[in-house]
Amino acid sequence: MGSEGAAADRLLSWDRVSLVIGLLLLIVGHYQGLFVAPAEAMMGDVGRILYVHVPTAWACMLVYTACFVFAGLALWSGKGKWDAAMEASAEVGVLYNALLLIQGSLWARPTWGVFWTWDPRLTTSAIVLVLFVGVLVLRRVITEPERRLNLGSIAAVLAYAGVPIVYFSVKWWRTLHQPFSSPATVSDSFITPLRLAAFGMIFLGIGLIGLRWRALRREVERELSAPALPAALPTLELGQRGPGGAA
Amino acid sequence: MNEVVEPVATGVITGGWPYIIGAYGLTWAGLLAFLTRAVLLGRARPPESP
Repeated sequence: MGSEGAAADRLLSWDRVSLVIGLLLLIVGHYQGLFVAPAEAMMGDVGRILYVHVPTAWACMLVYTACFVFAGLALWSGKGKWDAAMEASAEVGVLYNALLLIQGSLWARPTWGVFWTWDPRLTTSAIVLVLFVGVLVLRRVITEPERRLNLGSIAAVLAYAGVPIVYFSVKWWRTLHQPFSSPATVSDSFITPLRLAAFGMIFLGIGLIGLRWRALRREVERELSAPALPAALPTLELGQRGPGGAA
Repeated sequence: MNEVVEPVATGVITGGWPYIIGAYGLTWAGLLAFLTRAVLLGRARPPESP
């Protein structure tokens, strides 16, 4: 890799700083949400799931948006570094999306009476998760680096089309899920832990993407720079005799 | 004559701590598991080129 690779690693060194900031913000935000903020008027203590669920949802949408941007850059430039960034952000997006559905199910049981219902917000979130898992699986099964870059990026762009549908699902359809959440829609006493946890999830997501990007970039750039194999190797037909006369 | 049914879903939801602990616990478990995997994969030596 030489000095160019070392310089690239230095550029990526922010990921560890972001990880530490994210973890600290998340610890403080969750502590405040669990033990300092008052219980919600109707939901009681179970409303405290707000401070883990809503920040995960916001961060998940941002991570998927980053994945969409990286996919576009990879398609436009054909460079392995953007391909690696796309895969790294898709992995973190899938993690956040899966956590989001688990948290939502655990919140739904005491408030709606069921762990799961085919509500538009829940269903579209699950579909997006399946689509991005599909992007990662597609990348695993394609071994040719340039083809993987192109098809993987196209798949990520198509999968991202589901994200705005998730966002607007609570507006477009009748749903059990509450409408858009923001600091403007919650009580003042809930805002600080909500903000801390939200920035915590975002910084943590940046750090996790950076960590995975660093490792994936090495692999992808090594594959893209490897000399291509000859298109067709000379073959011996069955029964054809070699120079020594052996079949 | 129709029977009058009293609403049952009134008042504040009580309890719920097992769900809260589950949501926070699984979230932290997932995040730390992914972080550990990312660190370990980052340290792994890439295979030698042929």
